[in-house]
Amino acid sequence: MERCAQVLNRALHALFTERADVVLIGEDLLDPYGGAFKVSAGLSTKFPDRVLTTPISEAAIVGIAGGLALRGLRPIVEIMFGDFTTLAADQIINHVAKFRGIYNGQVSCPVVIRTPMGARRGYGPTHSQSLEKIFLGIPGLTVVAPSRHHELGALLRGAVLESHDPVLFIENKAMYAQPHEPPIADRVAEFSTRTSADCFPTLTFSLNNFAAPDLTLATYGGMTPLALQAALELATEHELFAEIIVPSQLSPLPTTELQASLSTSRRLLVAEEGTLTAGWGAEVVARLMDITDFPFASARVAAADSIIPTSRPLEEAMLPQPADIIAAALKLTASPRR
Amino acid sequence: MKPIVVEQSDLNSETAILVSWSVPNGATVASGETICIAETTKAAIEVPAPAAGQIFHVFAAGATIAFNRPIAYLAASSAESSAAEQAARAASAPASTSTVKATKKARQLAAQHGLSLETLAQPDVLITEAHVYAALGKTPPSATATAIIAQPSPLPATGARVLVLGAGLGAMQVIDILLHDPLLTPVACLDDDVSTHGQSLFGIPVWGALAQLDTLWSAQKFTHAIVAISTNIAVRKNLFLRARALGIPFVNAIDPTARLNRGVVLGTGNVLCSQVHVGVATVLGDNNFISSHTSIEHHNTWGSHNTVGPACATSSRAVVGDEVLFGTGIFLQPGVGIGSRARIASGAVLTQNIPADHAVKMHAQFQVTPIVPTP
Repeated sequence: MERCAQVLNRALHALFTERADVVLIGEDLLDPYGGAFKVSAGLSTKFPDRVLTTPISEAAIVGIAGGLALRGLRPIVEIMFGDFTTLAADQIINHVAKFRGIYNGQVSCPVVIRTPMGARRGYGPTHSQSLEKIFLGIPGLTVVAPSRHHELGALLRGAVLESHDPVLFIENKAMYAQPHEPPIADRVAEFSTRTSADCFPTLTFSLNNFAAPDLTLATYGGMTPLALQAALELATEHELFAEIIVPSQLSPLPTTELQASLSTSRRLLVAEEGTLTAGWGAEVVARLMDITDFPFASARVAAADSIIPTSRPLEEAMLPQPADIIAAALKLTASPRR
Repeated sequence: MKPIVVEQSDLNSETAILVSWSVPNGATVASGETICIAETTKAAIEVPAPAAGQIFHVFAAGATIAFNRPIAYLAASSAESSAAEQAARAASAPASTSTVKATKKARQLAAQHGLSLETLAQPDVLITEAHVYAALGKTPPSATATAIIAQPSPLPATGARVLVLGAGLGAMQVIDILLHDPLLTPVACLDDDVSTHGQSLFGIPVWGALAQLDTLWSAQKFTHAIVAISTNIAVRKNLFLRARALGIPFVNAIDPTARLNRGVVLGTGNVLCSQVHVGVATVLGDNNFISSHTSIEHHNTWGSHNTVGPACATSSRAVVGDEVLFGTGIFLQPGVGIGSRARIASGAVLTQNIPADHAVKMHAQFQVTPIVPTP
């Protein structure tokens, strides 16, 4: 099975071959280095004019890409670590996300900003964060964070070619090395799956062929394998069946699948790798409270509100683990359905 | 026959990709010749043959490989070649897994009724309790009844099932302690003394020799272990390390009359017999055997694999190393340090530090004479 980093690399090669207006801009992209995680490997050799390696200035990189997009190109930005998106936040939030609105729809700015986020590799406080929550709810910006079970190539293609607005494309670091395992005939290992028809689809996983779930477990990106592992243990050890909803688009939040699942389960558990406070989970719970007309119980599993330690055992203790999901699910299902 | 491994070259990567083999499977190579190229996120690594010989691949090119695990076997001579080939083939075979997927509740219910889950297996279906009830032609108990049974109780539903290593005098003490503890259930003993086999200690059977440890552990016949050899420290330590190497967790056997004060930190695998006292903030390592009425005072620091006879007493701040053998009725002044592997004779009153690997002997001054009856 191909690793996710290889799949993304192949998708970039396909995009560059298909379209002459696609360019890549970022730091350390040239071969033989090929980007810090090798996702850009081989591109600069095959397409030397369309891979722009730059000095260390994330604001300049995104600014240039914004200009290229306004003039009709399809630029892809690679920010080496997601933690460094803070340096480009002004260009992302106040510029590329605003242009279409500011100029009354006369221009579009289809920049794709690819960046790795996530921990579990011992990279320490400033190379391990999941900062995508900072960029949720910025009008004009789409935030996409696929799991290893999404069709990564199709998602990247959709972000680059089909989106009018800029897309922040979050690639989980741990996912890079994991095998790419999209559903085959609506199945992934023990799970039955459903895939929504969106450009950035939501996956739903079930262990009881979509019979009534005991709880709805929402997660995304790098937390997905851990959530599936927890769901498997909940089913085999406790006969509790979670329906796992995994959107690839975090913002704006797609709610159809969540709402449908929750209408039966009446219990919502959200698991994310970022810190708890003001996270994606807070928006998921609040949004579903707003739009549903039935009562439900909810809980959130996330990283402790702390900085990420470099020590692996301490990092593990700080980050959400399958055991945390299981404990939260048992607590949530201990009370009768609302 | 030599296993060939890729050493970890950078801390950023947990695995490497085996990019290509430079020599085909079964090829003969010279010492130092590059046999394959592995790539981490930071570097490409050329892996040299550690010696001349024939190379047998474990993985195909493109595989993700772990560091320091065999990726190939090298046969230094033709005599080794079939063994190396077999080792490579065995290492590359995927682990076999059961095909039947069922929940724990389903497995338990099927086992209770002697039903084989294989008969219920369908592709892509996780067998639940409901499937088993249906196959048995029984109605599942009502949700209400289950809910009452599932009410949280003060005790966990299942405690540790403890295997006692040793079936001698020490084991009787350990089993007596375990039988007092509602969370620890002794299941059996193992001992190399064949005369104990088939016997039982306070109702706990002796299953056989210690060589069975691995197979019993693989068969999940127990969940935890404890060493019940008290006086032979070498055996006690070896048994502990052997079980630990298998990944077996240990329990502490603490008699209900033992008193552990606030701030005590215990490792694991310790035996604390009747009336033992451990003072505040004392730290005990692993696998210590502390006989009855011994008092380990406050702010002591003890290592592992020590055994202590009855009624010994330390004072505050004693520091005791590893594998120290204490006799009976020994006293330590405050702050005394005892080095590892020291042996302290019964009745000693220690007022100074004892270095590692030293024995303290007593020259008794008393005489034993027959009593002459008075007329």
